Amino acid sequence: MKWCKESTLEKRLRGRKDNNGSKDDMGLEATLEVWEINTFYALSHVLFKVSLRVQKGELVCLLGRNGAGKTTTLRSIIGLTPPRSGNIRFNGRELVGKRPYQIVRMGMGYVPGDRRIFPDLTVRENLEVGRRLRGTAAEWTLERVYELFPSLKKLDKQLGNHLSGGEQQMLAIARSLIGSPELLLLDEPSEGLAPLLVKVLEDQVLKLREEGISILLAEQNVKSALRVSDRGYIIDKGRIFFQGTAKDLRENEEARRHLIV
Amino acid sequence: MGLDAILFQVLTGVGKGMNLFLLASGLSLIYGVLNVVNFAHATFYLIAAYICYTITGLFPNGYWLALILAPIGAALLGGICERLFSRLYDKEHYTQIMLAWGLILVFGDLMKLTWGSEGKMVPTPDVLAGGVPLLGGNFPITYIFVIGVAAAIGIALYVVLYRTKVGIDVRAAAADAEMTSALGVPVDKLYIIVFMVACWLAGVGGVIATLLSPIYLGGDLEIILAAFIIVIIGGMGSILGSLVGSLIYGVVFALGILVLPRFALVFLYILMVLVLIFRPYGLLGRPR
Repeated sequence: MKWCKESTLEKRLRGRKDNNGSKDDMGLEATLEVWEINTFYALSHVLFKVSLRVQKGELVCLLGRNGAGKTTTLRSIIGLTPPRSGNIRFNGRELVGKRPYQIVRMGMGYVPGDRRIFPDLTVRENLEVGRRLRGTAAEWTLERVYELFPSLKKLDKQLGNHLSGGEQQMLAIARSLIGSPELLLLDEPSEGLAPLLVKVLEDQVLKLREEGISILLAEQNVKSALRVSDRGYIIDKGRIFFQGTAKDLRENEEARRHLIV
Repeated sequence: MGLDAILFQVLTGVGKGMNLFLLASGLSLIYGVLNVVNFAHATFYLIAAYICYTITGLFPNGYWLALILAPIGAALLGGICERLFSRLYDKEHYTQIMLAWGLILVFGDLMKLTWGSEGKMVPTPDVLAGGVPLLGGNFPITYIFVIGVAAAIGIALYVVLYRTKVGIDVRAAAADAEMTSALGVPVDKLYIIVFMVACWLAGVGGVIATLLSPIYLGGDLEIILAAFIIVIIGGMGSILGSLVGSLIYGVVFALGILVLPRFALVFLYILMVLVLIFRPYGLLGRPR
């Protein structure tokens, strides 16, 4: 059953690829197109022919259990763990073989699951690391970022390791936002946050989407992810098993099976 | 022995310490950011000192020219060596020390071929000759100059690290290089810059050291030991720690000479052992 599902998905994706590389059936532009990537950690094969796409302005979630391959997928896209085979296209440009900093400078932002706040740097300095001067019109300035995350402004001079989990998560998002990304890769932003904070976070993610930023959201928290997403993929044991709209994912029995811990 | 004499000696120690600070801060910076133990760091210091000797021999007022050119030479050489070290960034420290040891031997022989094995003296520029009456003695102007140059560079280093984008990136990379690169910072270029700046600092240290003592082959091995004692006391990876360590080193050594000349170095080793026992990561360092 599983294999059957995967192969039809693959066929569909391959069909698209053959027709035209960057537009799908409905003629929408793909911001990100991941095509059959295989990723390894040393000798262990972690991702098996993972394919997915994110259209311009779309919020797509990547759902899966712990260890299913969500983080590795995002790390493959941003270039921290480059895939050994397959293609990743961002606005039509090939990413495989590029360094993480080059990929970021092309307009991608990465927010890791463990936040990775620089502990000895202040909040403002953490943001400074993410700041770049790209002559785009929709550039995110420190002021705009602080507008979206007012609580960070008050913590301006605080050291990174003095922040709470929620504050660190906001800072992690703000830090890649200040680089004015077109596409944001969010890895489990809700992890370890209190339910109330998860709600706040959902609102902020939606605001980012309203700003026109495409988002690929990796989540274990299915409910939260499906509340904000347009579409989603389900990954299990390094393979994509299902894709569909948020509604499909909520209702499909088989989809749910892959998500039960 | 009067209080004046002791204070005078302390000041001399501060001068020597500030000179060593230029070397130790670079050693500490390279370790903190690149996680490389650059055992060859003092070799860049010695090479700059020799270049200074050559330049002062060629031009009548060559010392000032040497102060500009010799550190640049050390930095360029450092940039080349960084490319060698870059292959060992993810390897054990001992492999880096092996490479550094190789560099010490190769550069040592090259220096011997170029400048010969006898010691060299660099003439003190007229402006820096003589001394100022202080605490009942005559404090050499060269020491004041050394303290001034090292202090100015220390402040500049602080400003760059804490007030500029590139400095903040360097500190971020020291904490988490992978995340820094995932925020759009070309970390490998940053590493070259850091290595070159550290070698430039060593070069300035070497040029101003020629005012205080003669240049001789093998001097780099003596001075790298001093630099290691300093960063172990002050804390590997901490710039402020290397300043504190340098001052402690200079002053303890200077006072040691006054009290028990033959055991001046022993006091420092005892101090280092005490730090290693009670605060293994150094006075201002942090556990890694």
